[in-house]
Order: sequence, then C-alpha cells, then structure tokens
Amino acid sequence: MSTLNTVKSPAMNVNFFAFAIMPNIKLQSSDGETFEIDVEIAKCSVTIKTMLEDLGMDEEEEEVVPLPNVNSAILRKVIQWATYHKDDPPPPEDDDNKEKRTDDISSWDADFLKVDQGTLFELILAANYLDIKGLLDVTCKTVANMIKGKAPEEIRKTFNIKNDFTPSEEEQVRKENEWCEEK
Amino acid sequence: MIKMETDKIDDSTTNNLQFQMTVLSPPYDTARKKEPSATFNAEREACLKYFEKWSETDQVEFVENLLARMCHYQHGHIDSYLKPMLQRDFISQLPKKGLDHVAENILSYLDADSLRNAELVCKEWFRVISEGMLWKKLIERKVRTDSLWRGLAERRMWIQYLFKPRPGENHRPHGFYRGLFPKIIRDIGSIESNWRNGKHVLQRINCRSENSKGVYCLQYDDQKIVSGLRDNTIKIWDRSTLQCTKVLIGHTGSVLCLQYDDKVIISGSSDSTVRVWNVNSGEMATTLIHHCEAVLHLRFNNGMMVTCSKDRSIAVWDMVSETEISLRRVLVGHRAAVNVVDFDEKYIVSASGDRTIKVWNTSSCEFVRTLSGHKRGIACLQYRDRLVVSGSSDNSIRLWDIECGAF
Repeated sequence: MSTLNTVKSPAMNVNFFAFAIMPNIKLQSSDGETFEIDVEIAKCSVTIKTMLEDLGMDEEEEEVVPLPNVNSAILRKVIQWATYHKDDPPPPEDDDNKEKRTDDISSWDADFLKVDQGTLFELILAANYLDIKGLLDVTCKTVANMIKGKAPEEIRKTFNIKNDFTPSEEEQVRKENEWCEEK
Repeated sequence: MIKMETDKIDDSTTNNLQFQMTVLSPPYDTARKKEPSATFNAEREACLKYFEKWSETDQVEFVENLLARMCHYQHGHIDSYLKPMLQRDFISQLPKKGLDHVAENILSYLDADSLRNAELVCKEWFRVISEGMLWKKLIERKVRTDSLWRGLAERRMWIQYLFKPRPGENHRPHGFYRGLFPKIIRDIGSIESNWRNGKHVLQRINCRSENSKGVYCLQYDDQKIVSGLRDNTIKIWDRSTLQCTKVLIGHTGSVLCLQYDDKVIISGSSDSTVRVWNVNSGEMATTLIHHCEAVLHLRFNNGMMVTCSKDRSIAVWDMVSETEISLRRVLVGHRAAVNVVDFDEKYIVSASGDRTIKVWNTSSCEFVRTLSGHKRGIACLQYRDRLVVSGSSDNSIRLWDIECGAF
C-alpha cells in the first residue's frame, strides 16, 4: 500500500451548485479505490462538509475527493459507520459538567468495533482526520475500556508494550500513588 | 495534513518475533535452523518476487490459500506470529502522529484507579498523563459533577488551583495535582467516618436572652447566622467569630419565623405582625398588620410572599419593594392553625394542625386539592418540583406527588 504524502488539498477547483441535482459524491482512498456515496452521509465528516461548503462542486466535471490519508479498507468501514448513523442527531458538544462514561456504547457500535487493534488504530486516525466526532468518541471509549480495570502488567500485555521503567523508577511511581491500596 | 502509516511492520520487529518463536517452539525451529538448500533459496526468492507484484487483494487470497494447505501446529505458529503484529500501543503511537490530544482523550475516560495503573505501564504513558495534566482534569471533572467535591474544593480552598488560573498566575505543575488527588480522597474518607461516628466540632452561642430563652427559627450563610428568638428580638451573629453583630428590636412577641435574601429580612411573630428589615443596616422598614393571631410561617421569593397564621388563614402578598407590600388574597379553608407554607410558580402548599395539606394555584390563588393521610397535625413541610415532603406529630414523614395527591 502506498501513502501519498504530497497530495494537494483536496478538490481545490470545484464550485457550489451541484448538490440539488447530484446527491452523490465520489471519495477516493489512498490506494486509489473510488467510493460513490450520498453527499449527506459524506457530510458527517466535518472535514468533507467544510470543504464542500467552502469550495462547492463543479456540475460539469465528475469531481472526485481524494482522501490521501485513508486506505480503502478503513474508508469502507468509515462509510459503513456513517451510513448506519446518518439519521443520528448531531453529537452533543462535550459537556464538562457530565461525567465521562464509557458504558454507553450502542450494541451496533460495539459489534462494529470488534476488530483488531491495528484497524481500531486506523479508524481513530481516520475519524480524527475526517473530523467525525461520533466515530472518534466511540473508538476512544473502546480503547479506554480496554485499559479500564486492568493492572499495569495486564495493560502491557493487552497492547504489547515493554516496561521501560527501571525497578527503582517503577517503585518510585508506585509509592507516590499508594493511596489507592489503602482503600 | 497528517499522514497515516502503512500496515507494514519493519524488519527489526519481525526479527524479534522470530527470535521469540525460536525460544517458544523447539521442534519447528530446529527444522528451520538447518542451512536452507540453494534450491529452496532460489525457489523462495522466485515466489516472493511474484508475490510482490500482485495486488493486495490477490496477496490476501494467496496467503489464505497457503494457510488452507497447512496443518494445525503451523496455524498455531502463524497465530502467535500474527497476534503482536495486530496489537497497537495507542497511547504511545498517537502522540508520534501529533495526536497527543486523542491519546489524552482516551485516558480522560479513565477513573482514578485505572489512571494510576496507566501511569505505571511505561515512561511514554507516564509522560502523556503528565503533559496532558490528566490528574488536574480528573479533579476538575469531579468538582463539576459531584457536590461533595465541589463543597470541599471551596471549603479547603484548593479550588483556586483548578480551572483557568487568574490573570498573571500559572498552573501548578502536574505533580501537585497528582499529590492533591490522594489528599482529597483521604479528606473525603475522614469526613465520611466523622458522619458515621458522630464526630463533630460543636460550638455554642449564648443568645443572652434575659427572661425568655429560646430560639424559634434561623437561617445562615457563610458570613452570618440570623436567628429569631423567644425574647422578641432577631439577633445576627458573625459566622467566624460567633459574636453578635446586630440586635433587631421591634416585635412585641416571640419571633416565630423569618427568611432573608440579599436585601431584606422578613419576620413573623406571635404579636401577629410581619416585619420587614433592611438586611445590611438592620433597620425596620415596614410592619404588616393583617393576621389576628400569631404568624407561624412565611416564605417569599421573586416579588411574592405567603404568610400563614394561627388564625387559620393564609395571606398572599405582592412585594414591589421593601416598603411597598400589598395584600393580594387571603386563602381560607384550613380548620386549624396553618403551621407551614411553601410555594413555587405553580402551586402554594400549606400544612395545618387540621392534619391536612392543601394545594392552591399560585397565579389564581384558587384552591386545587387536599392531601389527607396524616393522623395528627402537620409540623413541617417542604415542596420542590412535584414532590411534597411533610412531617407530622403522628411520627410519620410522608412523600406526596403534588399533581395527583398520591403518596
């Protein structure tokens, strides 16, 4: 798979009118595959939505939006997610006055995110790049749930991490935190 | 624009994995350790050359085909070879792509115990937690969502270190918040044990009443305590020194009830009057003469006041200012003294020695319904949202739904 690092900002030469007539949009993944989807679904990505609003799209030419940071496997997943969630109300702004929960992942999302960590990682990158808040939230929560309630060594095993603390450093960090053991 | 990495694993990782497998599985690897024949090397090179030319889909299909031709112990090896390739150290790898905020966002979902364990995973996790000020954020979230934390933050003054620093001041370093968290937990622990064991600091105020000693009512805030006394006065005390700061003289009977806001104190007395005082100067502004017996309770809010009396009536008042107060309506219906009133925009609720609670419409002042059930007179009552809670001399506390009267 190739990564296209030098692609120019997508769709620079497009203009505005086409949407009433042409409700579909073409997205191209980093490995060259093209996906034709409903504009409304594509707009759940704030990155794409802003781009369309700023630049519009040309009626004559069949414009393709290149997404040089997302490969086809991941883009397919993202589109699947966005299609299922297309009628969702816009995600609420982060409310600092609410407790941060991770137990409110819908069963569809939980199933959808039963993937290997590499895929989950790329979904996070894609959700961040495409600015899809709902997908970023639910993927971050999923990773948080993989950490929650585990001892340090269990966390290391879960993510294949090497402990690079020296025993004395580890002891130091542990000591500063001893309060939890008292409970 | 942020570039995403490919799935390809670099050579050093692969070598490590192979090494690990050598240790794990002697039968397979002793076979491998034999010098491969020249023919095998040539064939393998040729295969790989073809393989590299194919599309990703074709490559996957081909490997699936290979796997199907292999046996169980080989699958086991492939599985343990593959597993770590599919793992990701999210918290260390996201910052490498400039996405510190995403790593912090993940960790901000953790509770205190999990955050503490996350710190011990490795140096990079420790760094992300430290640079993201995640202990500070955790404390701030607790303060926003938990009233106990909020109260402690203010009382113990550490709220000054939270949220945006005042102009010209900086945040404390992360270690400060990391150390603060366990202190708060210990503080909460000792408060809870004090409640359970009845440990408290009791300070007494001597009201210095001459002949008729007794306190009938009080309200307080962080600065002062306002008390209505049996000696006909209202005395105001300083919260920190407990010294008397003002004595309000005017009532000719015991002060039975009072309420104050930032402008006025309003008091009701067994002299049948309601008096309005300036809360700052302590001067009497108005005397309302209406009830013909002791004024037992009063509530005021938002330009409206409700008073109730031993004379069995309830009076509803409009308050324009501290001196312009006019009687709007008198509510009659109770068959004994009305001991307590409460109200909001929708209903006025009253409770009486006649064992009933009555509900009245706030805007029209019309009678709505009676809540009966108590077997003796009702001494106290509070009303909020749909819930009415009443306490009676029948030794019971009853909870009522104001809309339907059920309890």
